[in-house]
Amino acid sequence: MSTAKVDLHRLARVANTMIVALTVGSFLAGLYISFWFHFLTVFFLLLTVINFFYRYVQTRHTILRNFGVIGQVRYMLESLGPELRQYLFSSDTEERPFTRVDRAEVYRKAKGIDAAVSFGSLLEYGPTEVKLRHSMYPSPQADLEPFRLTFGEERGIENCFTLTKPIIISAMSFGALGEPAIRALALGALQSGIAMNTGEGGWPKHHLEEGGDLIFQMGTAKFGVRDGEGMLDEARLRELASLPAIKMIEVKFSQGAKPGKGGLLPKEKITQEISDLRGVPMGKDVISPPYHAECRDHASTLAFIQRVQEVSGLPTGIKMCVGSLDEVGELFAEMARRDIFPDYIAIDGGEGGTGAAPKPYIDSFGMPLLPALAGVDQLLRDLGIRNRLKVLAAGKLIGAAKWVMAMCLGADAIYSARGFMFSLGCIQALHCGDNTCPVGIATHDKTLQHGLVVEEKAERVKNYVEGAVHDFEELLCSIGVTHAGALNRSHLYIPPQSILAGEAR
Amino acid sequence: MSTDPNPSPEPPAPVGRSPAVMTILWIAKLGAAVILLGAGSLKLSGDPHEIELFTTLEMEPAGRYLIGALECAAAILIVIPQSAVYGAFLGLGLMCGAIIGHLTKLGLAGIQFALLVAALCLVVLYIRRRDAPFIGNLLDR
Repeated sequence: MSTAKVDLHRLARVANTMIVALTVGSFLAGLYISFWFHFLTVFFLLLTVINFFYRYVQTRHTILRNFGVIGQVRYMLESLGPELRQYLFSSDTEERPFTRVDRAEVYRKAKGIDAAVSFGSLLEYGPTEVKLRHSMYPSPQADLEPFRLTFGEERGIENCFTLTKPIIISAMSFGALGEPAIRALALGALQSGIAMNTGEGGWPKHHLEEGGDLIFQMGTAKFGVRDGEGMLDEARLRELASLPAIKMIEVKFSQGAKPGKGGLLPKEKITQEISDLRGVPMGKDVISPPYHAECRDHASTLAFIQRVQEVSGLPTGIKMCVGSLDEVGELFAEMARRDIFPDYIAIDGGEGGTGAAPKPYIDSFGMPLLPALAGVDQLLRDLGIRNRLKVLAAGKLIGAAKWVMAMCLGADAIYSARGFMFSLGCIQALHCGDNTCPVGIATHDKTLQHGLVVEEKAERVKNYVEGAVHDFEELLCSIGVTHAGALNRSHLYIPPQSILAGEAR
Repeated sequence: MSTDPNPSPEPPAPVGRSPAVMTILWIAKLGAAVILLGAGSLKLSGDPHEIELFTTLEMEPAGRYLIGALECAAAILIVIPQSAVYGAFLGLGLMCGAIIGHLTKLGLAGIQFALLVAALCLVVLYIRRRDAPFIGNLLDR
């Protein structure tokens, strides 16, 4: 006895016959019953023509050749798949890159809603999970020392820059993000007293509008401070560095989304304004070179860093995703030998990335943050130069517990980009690269930006910072320390199967 | 929602951007739009000849108003570059209905206008075929 099942091929055959039959039927109905039926005749006639085209003319799609218009249903459903999975079918802990649990925590913080959850962790408490160790004798809240981290103090420069909160908004350029998103972040940063990285998108016009502290990022294409040949234009850098809002300069060597490859701005997102601010043509993807033309080995790299430090007069850091600790170790040894140090090094995890990048780069390049960070910290200690520069960490660090873990492994402060995108209302629609971001963040489409009200979202950014910093301070107390500088690896429970076990000890 | 089965990284390449093709495109668009707008406004304004036709079709007056409004809409859509293919689709559908009407109930007098507009819509569709929904992305570049 046969069981009920849907034979899609047969269904398509029936449908293909029915379309023709319905055309004829409608025509007869129009002829003999009422002319109104000819609306259907025309509809089915056009459908018949399209179906014929699918089945016998076009050669590109097998499914459409074999199944006709019914085959389009497959493509329609497939195109809705990501939405359906996110709304209905994915559990709270299985979405990527951020689970609903991760995101909801940021949303609650941003909206100032009580963030207590009940009845146990939804996360794996398994044999590979790194956890924080609390102390039997937590520190009293009153004993906590205020967070202070001063960049440039090692070199004794005049224009040192001091962070008073452990978090910085990571590099997101105008270009990657639209104007209202940039302004909301800049205003939120100002209101919450944190700094913001401008990203490598050229002269930071919109970042500057709100008046907060900025870290100017110089990518490999040096947008904003490049000369005609794409080399550093010192006069332009000097002019930029003299702006009161610009507190530090960051030379970007690589980023987590696409280590070993230059930045990429899809042509869909290049407006006239972006083309002007960057000095690039419209209608073409903007691909930055994979390296700084001035930097071809460790010696020239350090010379370039020193040159930027001298021209700008500001604390100058570097940002990179670690490919090989050996290579980075050689760079550090060269720093020690020449006594030239950047004021900080920001380590971006290979998992990082608001940026658009080719899939192999997003998926398969770069060391993950935590082992890279631990390795860098250890290398600096081994060379006795850990006190010569600060270490920043970036890569999916969207909550206080993750910040503390990174700090236990050597970070002095934290960069986050996507955490702040969530605070602006990002729903992880994954449309950052095609100018169709539904929440108006990573798009220049005015009709999509309409929903993003700068003042409203700046408030969310501020709430998120305050909530997460509050958590951070509570965690320090529970761990039993009184300032972030006291955190170290012993405050982590690292199970033997963890990626960190035995590493960089 | 996109129904593009295989979203291509390249947007549809502009088809027929040579001045000659553009001239033909605009003649077809404007020609179709003028006739559609004329016919539509006659229907909406209650022209006696149109009333007579739609009485024959037993669609008076609702059918006359509906088709008149759709003809005006098609005329507007076909002129605007972003919606030209949709206007051409709509115009073609309406003209198919008109041709059926002339062949079955109304007699051949006047069918030439419907045939002309249908042909002009096909010209627009052919030149702007890369923009057409459901089929544009399947055509060779």
